[in-house]
Amino acid sequence: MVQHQSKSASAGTKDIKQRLFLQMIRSEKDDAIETVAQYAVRHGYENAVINLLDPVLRQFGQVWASQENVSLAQGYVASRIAEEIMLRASRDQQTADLNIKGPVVIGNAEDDYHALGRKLVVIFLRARGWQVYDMGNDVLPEVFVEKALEVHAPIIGVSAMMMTTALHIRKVRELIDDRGLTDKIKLAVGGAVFNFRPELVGEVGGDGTVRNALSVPDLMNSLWPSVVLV
Amino acid sequence: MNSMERVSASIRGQKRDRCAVGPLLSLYGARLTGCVLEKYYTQANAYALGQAMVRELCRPDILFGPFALALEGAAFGSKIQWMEKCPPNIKRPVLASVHEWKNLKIPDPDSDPILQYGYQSVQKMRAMHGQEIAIAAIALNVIDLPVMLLGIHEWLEAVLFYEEEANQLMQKLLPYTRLRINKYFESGADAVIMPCAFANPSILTRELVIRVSLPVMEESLQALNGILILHSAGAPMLPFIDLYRNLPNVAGFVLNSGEDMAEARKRAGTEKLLIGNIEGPLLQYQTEALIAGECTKLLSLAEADSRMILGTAGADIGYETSLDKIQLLHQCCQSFSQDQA
Repeated sequence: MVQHQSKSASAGTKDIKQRLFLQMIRSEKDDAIETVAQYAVRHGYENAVINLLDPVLRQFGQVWASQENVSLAQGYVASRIAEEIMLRASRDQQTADLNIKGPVVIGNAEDDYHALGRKLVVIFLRARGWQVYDMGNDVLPEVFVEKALEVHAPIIGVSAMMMTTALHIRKVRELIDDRGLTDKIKLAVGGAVFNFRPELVGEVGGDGTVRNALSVPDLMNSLWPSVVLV
Repeated sequence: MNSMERVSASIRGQKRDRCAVGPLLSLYGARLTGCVLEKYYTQANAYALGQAMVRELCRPDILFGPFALALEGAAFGSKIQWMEKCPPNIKRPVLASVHEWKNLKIPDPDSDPILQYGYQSVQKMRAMHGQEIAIAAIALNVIDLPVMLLGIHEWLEAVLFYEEEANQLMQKLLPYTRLRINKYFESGADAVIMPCAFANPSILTRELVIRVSLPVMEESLQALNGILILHSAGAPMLPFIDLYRNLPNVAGFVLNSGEDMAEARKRAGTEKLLIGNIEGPLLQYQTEALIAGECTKLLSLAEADSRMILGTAGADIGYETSLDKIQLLHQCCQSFSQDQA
């Protein structure tokens, strides 16, 4: 059961959020997990995820997107913190009624084997309550679309690091359109090459992108359809 | 002055007839000869012929050895994926995690056929071009080689959470990397270009670089028989350049696209060669006017800085880039020096 916070409790949570944010920036993994654990003792893991982890991850993502001095190592440690907290939350009986969003289907583009970005995306999506089907590396367009239809996922997310593999995403777009699914399945794209060349999003038929893995849940929220599922 | 003399003068900080040009055109040789990449990156003759065509049509002052880092992973047993228009990628790393480091078999740089391909390519290029043009080989740093053996995810995990085993793996690789680099010098390379991914601020924090990367780099770069140029690996280099400037045998840096070369000069010191920093992989998407403008800016700086070379940043210039845009780099250099004269 999610708890409503009093004014003083809210002020206390603000301080704890700030501490957790700094621990993430400093890559203090064990300390960050302990901060959340202490909060969870009093409020439960469901509230810890909603009131601490989710807003702090969002703040971290904004900093990562806007500043060049956040390293991949810091982002990776943040993902490990989130992963550990979600693992603990899943063991906490009180989290049984956590809202699950999704599902979404995620994978690397055909011929793309740069898995790290995708793995971070999956961790951060799950940490923010999304149900994710991770199809792995080198995923063919047919596999993406078939899986989306099978699990009723209205969003496919495709990751590619390089120009050559990013161009394969066009085939996913074409398949979605050819099968008459344009209004039913949105195509999220991401990876280093899209950061260097944002116009590529349109060229491969993407419906949206973000600059880092932490911001992907926000992208999914924005793409989440008002239309009926597939 | 021929190209070799121009580049040598740049390294020594001496007067040149014009700024040297060194676009990274390792891949582009295959485009110019129409060679299938699997052949281009396994047969030294095919590579050398591609580079001869690069020299003839693009007129650079530096030719590069094969820039296909995944091949080095293949020599250790990693599986690679051949691509149609870019160098191969690692498909399945040889190690599942750093905990397996003791099982790793080190290939013999004197006999392994994949590694021989690299040396033979440089030897053939040297035999074809003599002392007319500078040749730079490209080799992995001991801090980045594990990416080809474990994948970036597992290597990052190791550096962050299993530092002792990460160091043990790097210590195991250290004699190999030193031997490999010296083999390139024996083969005729004038310099070795060394990407520095796990020593740049987009991958690691400064604290981690100082604690994990720098000590092993310091150790591995000793006892080399030639000069090294550290490459930004497609990420910012400037914030950490002060950390690299005193590493042994490091003669210069290839800066990332968009980094301030004047600021790089201040931070690197007056003795280091600076190469940069026209956008390489995305050159094909830039207009000729934009490329010419960037070149002119850099050439203006190089006019007063003889240790600066006009080069491209990041990975190879893309396979699909039009020849006109590449030729523009040399043309800008020529016309700029004529205008100055």
